[in-house]
Amino acid sequence: MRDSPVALGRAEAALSRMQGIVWILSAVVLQSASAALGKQAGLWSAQRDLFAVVINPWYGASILALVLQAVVWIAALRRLPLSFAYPFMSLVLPLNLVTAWYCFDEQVSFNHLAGVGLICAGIVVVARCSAEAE
Amino acid sequence: MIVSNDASHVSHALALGACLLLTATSQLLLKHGASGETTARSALLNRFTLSGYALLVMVTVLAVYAMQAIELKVVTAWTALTYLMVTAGSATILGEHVNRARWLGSALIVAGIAVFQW
Repeated sequence: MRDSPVALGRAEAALSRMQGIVWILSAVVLQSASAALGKQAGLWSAQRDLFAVVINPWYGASILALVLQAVVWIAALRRLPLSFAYPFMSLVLPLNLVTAWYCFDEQVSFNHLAGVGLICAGIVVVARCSAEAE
Repeated sequence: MIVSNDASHVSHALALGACLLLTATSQLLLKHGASGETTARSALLNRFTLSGYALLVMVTVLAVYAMQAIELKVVTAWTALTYLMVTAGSATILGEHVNRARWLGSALIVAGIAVFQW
């Protein structure tokens, strides 16, 4: 039995949405990776001269992650509305908190978790308002 | 505390403050540069847009300098303050209408940073 054009259209739309969500999550991971690489660049350059801030392999990797994030983000926005996509970027905060704890041995307390939770809620509200205005 | 009491780290805290200010300024410049331009090329290559991107490049350098002494989690939390700065700048400099929900979101972000730093 052949699928109707309507059913095929819905399947294509669902696939495009799924692809968009994968792109969004990739953008979140790349944004967080860029921050972690920037932190590593800071640690690497701390014991060197001032030029080491930019003449620094970790800084280069951080910028590369940021450029890739921009490309991936555009791919996501081609498939999904901004009002849906933008609030996902608040996921960068908890991801950075996990990275800070796991990769850089930073202490994470209840206040840090609660603070990041409030900030994420605030970003979602601001992002939703901004997207609706556009 | 954002950084330790070591006086030499004041410059790192100042770098983080400059990051926040320049990020918010760049967003306002990008918005101003994109408004009123008729083609994609003119929206991308006018002096406001190019200045905005130049500031963002400076921000990446300052952020690396700041993170020499400031923890990643602290930089991440304080970076959220740019949402409030952009909201305030949109209302006062660009003259955009900012509704109550957006101010509420900004207040939540400030409260979150306060709880984070408690």
